[in-house]
Amino acid sequence: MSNHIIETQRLDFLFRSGQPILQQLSLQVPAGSIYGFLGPNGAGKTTTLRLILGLLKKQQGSITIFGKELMAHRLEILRRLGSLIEQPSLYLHLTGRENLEVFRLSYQCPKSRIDEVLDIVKLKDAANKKAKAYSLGMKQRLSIAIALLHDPELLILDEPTNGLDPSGIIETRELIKSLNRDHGKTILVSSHMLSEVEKMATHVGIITKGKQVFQGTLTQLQQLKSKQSAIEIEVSNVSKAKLVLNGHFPVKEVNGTRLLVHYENREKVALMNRTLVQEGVEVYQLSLTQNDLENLFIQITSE
Amino acid sequence: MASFVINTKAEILKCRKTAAYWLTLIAGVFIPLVSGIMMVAKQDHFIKRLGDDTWRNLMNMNWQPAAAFFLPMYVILVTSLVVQVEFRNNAWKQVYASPRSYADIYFSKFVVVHLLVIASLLAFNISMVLTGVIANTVNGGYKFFATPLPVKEMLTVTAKMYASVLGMTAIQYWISLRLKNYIAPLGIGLALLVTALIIMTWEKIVYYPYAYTALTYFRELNKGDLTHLNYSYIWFVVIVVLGFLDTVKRKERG
Repeated sequence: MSNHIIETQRLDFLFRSGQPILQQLSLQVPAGSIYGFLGPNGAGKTTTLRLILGLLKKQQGSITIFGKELMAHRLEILRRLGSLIEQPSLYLHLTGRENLEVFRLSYQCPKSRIDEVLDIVKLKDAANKKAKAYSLGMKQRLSIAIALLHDPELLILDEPTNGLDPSGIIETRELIKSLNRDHGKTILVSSHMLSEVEKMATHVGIITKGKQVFQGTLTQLQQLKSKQSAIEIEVSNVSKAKLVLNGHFPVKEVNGTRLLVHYENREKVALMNRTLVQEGVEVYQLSLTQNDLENLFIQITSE
Repeated sequence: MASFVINTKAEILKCRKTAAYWLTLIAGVFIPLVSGIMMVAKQDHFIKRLGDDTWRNLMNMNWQPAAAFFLPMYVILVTSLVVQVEFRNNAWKQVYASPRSYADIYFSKFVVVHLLVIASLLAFNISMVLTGVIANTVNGGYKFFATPLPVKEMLTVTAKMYASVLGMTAIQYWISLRLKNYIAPLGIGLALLVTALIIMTWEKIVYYPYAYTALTYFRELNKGDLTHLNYSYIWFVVIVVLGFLDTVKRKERG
């Protein structure tokens, strides 16, 4: 048996209209990892997670969780995982504790678990308030508490920090890290923010437009990122600048009055600037491009 | 089976403090309450009208509006409300992602609908008896205390009325599961019910499930013939099975 808790192979998914949502997606979530599943909105992250939970009927490919085929062992698998998909699924007319009680009955776990999970997500004081009175952050935490009720080995969290304020984001991130570190859970967490994933993940999978463009450890991603870094230069005359740099510095892209040049090291940046100025090209701005998700995608996909 | 009972308990807990609960209580006591107020307000008129066969006449006075409209309307509303708990809270996905079989999910909620309908029918009977007792206490001219309570008849009528809504509960349940919008199952149910009232004299009315409460109670409509109840059972079984297969085969849940 492989040590991948979740493994999908060549997963395809088409909308009824025939529009492809996922193409040949092969995810591998190692045991004990925090797997950051990264992609812009509409990339197919939620569709993937819904497929993994059996909420969408699989069309092509295979999904194995804990080494077992999903639909053939659906109940057995669901007993061992907890999930939070998109916005919280809470019964707003019930209190936090009653919400947990509803799911505790379904998972058939001891009553003492309710207080334990309330403790983990720090909601003990608000347990007897109705869920409709909760802030979004509290709702999100209660949803995580529900996912933790039966002490699952695997957690699947879909954008758990979506809509939270900065302190809520930090709290949730710390909670995810501690669940992994102190409770030994494997966590698959989706996000559209690279910076967010970088702060907690051990492994990363990136999809865009339904296609997987990267999968590996966080270190591998960081190496790729530095290799892919670029210098953006705003100049007075783009075509002349391009001519000057041609041959010496690889120009990746021209964007209006800006050039994108491959970044090697600081000295090369200074040399590039000097060369341009000497040849009579005015340099207005020179910056290392921020490695946000959008740029990373452009870089990875343009390879 | 044990897990089905536990999950049904969870489904009952979900409906607590929702409109479905209140509606069940209100639907049960509404008609008896109105008739009780009338009996106290117009005592002479009702002492004469209820006569010597007091309890049976009171039953008739209560059941007529219930059978014609209130009971089927309640069934339409409560089925919709029980299912809406999941849609309104975006909770279907969490239900389907918990370790419950499709049969468990489908049937436990349906059992809750039926428990509520039965509770409402019980509340109806109990409050009907209470109004008789209160009316007789207020005015000794009533003959409730002098007449034995026709318990067996009350139970028989209640059981038949329950049987008459079975087909309807299955149809409304399926529609409510399929349509996210709360108004849609309500509108469809109401339209089908009103249609029943319009086509009541049609010779093939026994095939039309939304007419069964009226057909069961107003026997003159079908001359005491209760064969339509057999069709209610058939509707019930067929639609419950189809609805379940549809739940299992669905490509998208929650």
